[in-house]
Amino acid sequence: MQKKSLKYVIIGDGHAGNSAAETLRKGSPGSDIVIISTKPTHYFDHSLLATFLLDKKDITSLYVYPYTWYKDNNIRLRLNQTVTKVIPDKHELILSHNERVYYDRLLIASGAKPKLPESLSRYKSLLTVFTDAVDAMKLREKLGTFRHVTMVGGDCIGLHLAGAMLKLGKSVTFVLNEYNFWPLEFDETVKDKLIGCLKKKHIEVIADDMTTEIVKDGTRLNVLTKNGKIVKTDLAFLTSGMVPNIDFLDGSGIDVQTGILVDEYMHTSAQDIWAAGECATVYYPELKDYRQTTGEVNAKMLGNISAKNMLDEKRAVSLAEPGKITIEGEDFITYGWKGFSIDI
Amino acid sequence: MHTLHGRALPVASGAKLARPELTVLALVGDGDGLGIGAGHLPHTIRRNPDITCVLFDNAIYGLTKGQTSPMTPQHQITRSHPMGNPDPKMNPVLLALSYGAGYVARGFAGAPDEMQRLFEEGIRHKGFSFIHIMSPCVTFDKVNYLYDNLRSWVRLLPAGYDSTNLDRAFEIARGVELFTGLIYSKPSLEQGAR
Amino acid sequence: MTYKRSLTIEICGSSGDRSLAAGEILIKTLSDIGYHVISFDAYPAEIRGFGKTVAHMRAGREIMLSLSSKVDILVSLNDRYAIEQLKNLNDEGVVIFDNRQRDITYEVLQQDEGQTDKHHLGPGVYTEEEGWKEITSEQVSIAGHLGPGMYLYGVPLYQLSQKTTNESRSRNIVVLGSVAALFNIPKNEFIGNLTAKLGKKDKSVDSVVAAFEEGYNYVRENVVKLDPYSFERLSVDRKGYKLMDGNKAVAQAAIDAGCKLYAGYPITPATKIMEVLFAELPKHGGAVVQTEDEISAIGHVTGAGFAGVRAMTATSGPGFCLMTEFIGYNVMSETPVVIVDSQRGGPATGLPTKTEQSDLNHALFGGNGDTPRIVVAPTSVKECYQWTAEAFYLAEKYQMPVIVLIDLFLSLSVRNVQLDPLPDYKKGSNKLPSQEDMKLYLRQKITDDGVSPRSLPGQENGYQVVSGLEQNEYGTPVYDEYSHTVMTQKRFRKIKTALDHDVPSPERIGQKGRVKLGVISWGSTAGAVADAVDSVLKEGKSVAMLKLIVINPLKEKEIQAFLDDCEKVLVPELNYQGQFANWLSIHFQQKFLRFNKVATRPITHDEIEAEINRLLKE
Repeated sequence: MQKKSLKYVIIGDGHAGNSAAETLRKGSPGSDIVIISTKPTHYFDHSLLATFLLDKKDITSLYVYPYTWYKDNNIRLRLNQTVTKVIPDKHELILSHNERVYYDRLLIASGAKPKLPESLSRYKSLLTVFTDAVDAMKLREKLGTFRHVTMVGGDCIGLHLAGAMLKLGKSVTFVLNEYNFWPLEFDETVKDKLIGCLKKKHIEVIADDMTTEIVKDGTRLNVLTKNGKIVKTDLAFLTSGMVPNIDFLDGSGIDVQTGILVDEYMHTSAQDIWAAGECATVYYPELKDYRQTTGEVNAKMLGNISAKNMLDEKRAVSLAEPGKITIEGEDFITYGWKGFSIDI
Repeated sequence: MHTLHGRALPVASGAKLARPELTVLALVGDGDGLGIGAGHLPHTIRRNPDITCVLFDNAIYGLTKGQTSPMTPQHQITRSHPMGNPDPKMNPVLLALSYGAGYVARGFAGAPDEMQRLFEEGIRHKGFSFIHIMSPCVTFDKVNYLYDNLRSWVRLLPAGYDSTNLDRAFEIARGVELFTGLIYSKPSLEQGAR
Repeated sequence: MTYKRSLTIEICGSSGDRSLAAGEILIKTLSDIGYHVISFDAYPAEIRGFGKTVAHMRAGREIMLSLSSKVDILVSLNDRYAIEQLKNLNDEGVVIFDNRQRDITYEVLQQDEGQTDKHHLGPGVYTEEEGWKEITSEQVSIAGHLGPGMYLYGVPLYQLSQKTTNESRSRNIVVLGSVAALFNIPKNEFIGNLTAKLGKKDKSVDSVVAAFEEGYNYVRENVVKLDPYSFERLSVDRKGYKLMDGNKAVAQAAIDAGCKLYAGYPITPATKIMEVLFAELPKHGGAVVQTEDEISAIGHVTGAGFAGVRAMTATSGPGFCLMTEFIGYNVMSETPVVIVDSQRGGPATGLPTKTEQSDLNHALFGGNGDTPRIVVAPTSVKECYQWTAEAFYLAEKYQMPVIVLIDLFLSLSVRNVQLDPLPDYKKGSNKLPSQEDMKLYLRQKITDDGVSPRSLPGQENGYQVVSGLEQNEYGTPVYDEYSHTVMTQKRFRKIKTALDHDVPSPERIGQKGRVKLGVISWGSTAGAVADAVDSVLKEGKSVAMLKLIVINPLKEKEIQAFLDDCEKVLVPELNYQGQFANWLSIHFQQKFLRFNKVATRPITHDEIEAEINRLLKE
């Protein structure tokens, strides 16, 4: 337990950030805790996103904690504001509205955004993303305007989304290859099993192929593949993996690779700065190597470990137990996610 | 209309503004007009309504039986000042001139024909007219404004006196002699009554 | 509008930010698209520092007569000042701020006149108590001060203002565009009101409209709206409605009721009545005079009343005190005058810019002797119009002073109102002498209704003397027992006649028949009570209110009937003593529950609602 009251600033209002905030509050009741998030919405449960499309519930139904939790725990939430710079020497953040925010100890848990393969970068404006509460809200508003969707790639949320689309009477096509179903432990057997399951759900699967082009066709879209297939669709969802949100670290001197490099104590190369969740590339002693992690389970665990270290309770990281998702009675192993299913 | 003590000028102004066709006079005394209500005098003069104010000055508070008024001479013994009035009296004609009144006259209750002429002129004057009348209080003043005293104090304005000459008017007003008659009358083009 | 019955909006800035101008355009637009509005820019409690200004308004579908305690939407043109307003923001409130300021400490302090010296000492504030204190940008940026459930929307106000108008002063217009986009307020009305406000002068109007559009488009393209608030157009026609405050309504009533003389002395918050009349009354054949003091003002009005025309003065507490001798004089001389007292915090000079209902004792009892007078207290801007006009009618008909008690809140709060035209019979109410009367004219003739025929100055054979002395029927001063008795009775008989003929039954609102709780209210507080009662009735509570506009004379029978219906009776008012409850206690054998505040601001509907609910639970 710390004696001195510090100001802890957490960048990111996701699983890692909130789990860290909770741990910090327990460990240091008198300290200042601030969460800064670029998102206008608040910490939500990913596994509820798809079901959110099916009902008329308020966006707050997605939220993990009610606002009163933050009030009761005296955790300051700063939503809809973006950190543009970190200055480790001054222990200072600069926000996009030119405010300078001081921290004693900083946790970067800024998460990740959908990965846009280079080959598809030209078609960014034609692709729809479905990663957070705002995406879900926007999609729900136009549910009546489309009938067919195509998943460019696939991931857990993609499966989950497909489930919701089926339930809404939309038809679904997956364009898959092994690179873009990355949260699952993926090999040929897993792939065949997965394709079988999807087909059982009357989902069209275009396997061992890649989306190469997306063309506007009136109000609709044509998704073209490497093997010459043309999928006529209304919406093309980008579900090809994630990249860490670390643009704002440019010039900060903090070591990054894919994500922010942290040691087994989640500490970055800069003094008093830790990183956790999908934005971090973590050194696992068990692997004697760095690994990019994904998913709620990992993020919560890493957030918690970071917080312990920020409270000077030295705690090293270890690999999480693998989880599973179930499709048509078949289990698939994942590292990091839980609660997702196509059978919603 | 017998208004509140000291408030005749505002009431008269209001009546005149409301009914410009009416001839309006405000009759005040030295006690209310120069005492409690003196503050209204400069402003009424400034606004210059077409009314005539006659100040009946008996140099004593008669209704309350003989106290010092703003016109009681210094050192005079009165009911309120048995050791003598410590303060000098006021000079209503000089006040009215100083504030810029367009018609200023003085009369004496022992000379009713002159008074009548001054009233008529004052009423005819377009704008605010101010007439100071020295009028004995025969009940409570046994030393100052006695008819005999006043008769011996008043003077007629010198022959050829030009009542449109403001400098002369000030001299007359400042002097110790109590001149009666039309002391100052602004030339009619400049009267500018409202 | 969804979600709530009404929304309260504040636009907060420093004096150079023109937040009040933005507020005016916004309230006009909301009114145009069908909302009831009420604004009160003097409301925000803590106006300190240099030049903080806050436009405060409430808008809703239903008529509203009061303010809410909480704000729903806070627009910041100066974060440092807006931070102070956050404590009034609802837990789910919205904040709109500039998200691209150049250097937040510098900018905020720049706007804060005379308090910055960046070049020498760095950003900071100098106060007498603490000396020079450095300010961090966290202290002056609103973004870090919101509660967890509040919504923060950023718009680059400074940048967009510079881009369109080459100056930062149009941030207030940019933000109006953003407000329109965020809350679905139709754009056309907005732009119409914007250009109307600017006047069609030159090309600069186009650039200001461009500033509005930029603010609008930025939100449409960049902001994710999450809050539930919106102001879509309502299908109600508000064409006959005018935006006006109580002062304007009083002035308009004077004009329409045929007032021919207004005399007054400047005093907050009644001054604007004189200002409006200076501009308008001469066009209608009336005269306006600014007097040297309030005694002279009421003196002028008395002279005009005596001369037979309708005349009025308006003042606030301190000036009202100076007029008091004349109240008695007007009673005694039976001269009609209308005195408007816009109450502010007292005693003495008191709180010139804060509202209160504490002049009631003075209005009812002020002056020496037994002095009957009619006291009316409008509860809304609309009633300010109606009852000021009525006051002229009553004063003339009953030849006595009529006091119109309003307050700073009514005086200064702008609302959209539809004024009912005055009935013709209200336009002339002098009881003139008949030919029979003129044979031997008696100014103070004893009559059954107490009102003597009044000859006006200049009327042949109508010679009269009126004075402040007790008099007989001829008007001759007399001091005998008989005369004083019959004349006092006569003067009070006029009040009784007025009560029987011209005082309407007080309006009862809410549940009929027996109720658990009755609320009797007066003045602007009655607005808050009406709003509160309306909302607890929707919850099925057993509540009714009685709204008293005529405070003297009281409709005792009707009020007693109401009291008999109530298990408990609450009398809320904005003064310490419970002056109105005391007044009622003189007339009724009833224990009145009191709810008194000296809050320096109007009582809000939610405060009354809470008190009603508390009493119902007891």
